[in-house]
Amino acid sequence: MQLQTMLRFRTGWAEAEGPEHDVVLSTRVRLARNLRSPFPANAAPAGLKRVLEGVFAAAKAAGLKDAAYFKLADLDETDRSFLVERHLISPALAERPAHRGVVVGEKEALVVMVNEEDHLRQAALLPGLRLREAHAAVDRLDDGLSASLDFAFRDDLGYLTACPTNLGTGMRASCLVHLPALALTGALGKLVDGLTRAGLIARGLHGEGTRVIGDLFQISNATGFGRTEGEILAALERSVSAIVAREKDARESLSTGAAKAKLEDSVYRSLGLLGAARLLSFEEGQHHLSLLRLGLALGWKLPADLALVNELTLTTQPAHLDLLAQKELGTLDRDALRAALVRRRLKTS
Amino acid sequence: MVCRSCGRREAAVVVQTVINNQVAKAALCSSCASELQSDDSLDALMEALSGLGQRGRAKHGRCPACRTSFADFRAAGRFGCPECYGQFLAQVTDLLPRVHAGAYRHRGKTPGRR
Repeated sequence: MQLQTMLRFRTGWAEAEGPEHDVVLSTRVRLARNLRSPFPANAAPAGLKRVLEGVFAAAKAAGLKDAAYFKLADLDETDRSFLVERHLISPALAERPAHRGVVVGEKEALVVMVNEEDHLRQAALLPGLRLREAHAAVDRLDDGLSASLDFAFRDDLGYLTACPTNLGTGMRASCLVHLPALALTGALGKLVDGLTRAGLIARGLHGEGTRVIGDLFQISNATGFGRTEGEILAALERSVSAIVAREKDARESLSTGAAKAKLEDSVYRSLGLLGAARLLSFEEGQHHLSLLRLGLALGWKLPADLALVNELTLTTQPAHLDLLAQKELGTLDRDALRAALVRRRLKTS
Repeated sequence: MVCRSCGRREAAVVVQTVINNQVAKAALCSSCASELQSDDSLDALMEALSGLGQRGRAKHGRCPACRTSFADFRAAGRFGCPECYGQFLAQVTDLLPRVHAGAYRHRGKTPGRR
């Protein structure tokens, strides 16, 4: 367990700031790129090693000098799970650590995964709804990396990727949105159908279907081929803005008139439980943090703020708690530590 | 009418879906129709791949760089290396509009050009 120091640093993208941050927690834009050699799943260990070293060197040359460079084989399972929970690497990368790596920039705002499905998956992460800024940041990084790396590209097909679904721009832009009011009013199913028709994908951050934990959803473009980056970002921004408006309408109707007492009761029950529980499972914690976040977003005077809720949403995940305890915890010990951490942070906020 | 997806069984239903506000229809056999999911581009890829079934059985050779065959691609849904796109260009060109909402040509960033 080497990554305890990362627990002390605030994740930039989880700050409660940026446009529409009361609904849109963060924006992520990633670009898939490959060198002109076999894709990772088809490459020999020596080839993967060459790519890893080449990308690390290119990232340093591209200005990511103060970034952290991790070879995943040097990290244990808890560290790798921590990076997954932090949204810095994918579960697929964590599962196959040999000759895989990740570059993590300052405030975790820029990330480069190496030898996942594609040789490079570069991403920019920012708080709030900031698709164009996030794209500009990752585009600059892409230009910097392409100064020393020869990316596989064809004029007709764009950037070549292992899976043809990522072909073209190689771009997947996504917004992490908190939709508790739409979940409470039962409007989510229809919303997801509408997004699919508009060429977008909506997925629960934790859990799927009716079992989405914490009302957090990732909304992204389904395809990055045949349209320019600007067109894809504009379409996504329109849809996310429409979702934000609908969520705010639903929040308004739940927090006025006869419905208000019911919502107040739910939010204050959650606050009470988070402040008093001695054992807190991940699912229960995320559920009550979601209601607390809703109350705060409505401007209610509660003894917390959105930044703290964002922080606890991240730090109460299993590998974060194991790192905090500096050992792999059993379920009961982990639930106890999660409850203690939440109580302490709510008390000191 | 033969199933648009497997190209073998008799079509039993017409499936209609909307992609980017455009209606797309396909006559499918009941077996293929039951497997169809439309909420993910990967699903669309797998559907389109099954549509390539008949032609996929023909000889396409192997990628000269990594030795991946088109059958390998159909099984994994992934190519072996960037050169595969050149080797299987005809199949890729057929596949792309179905996976990418009708698009057939890249229009985004080009390295070294603004």
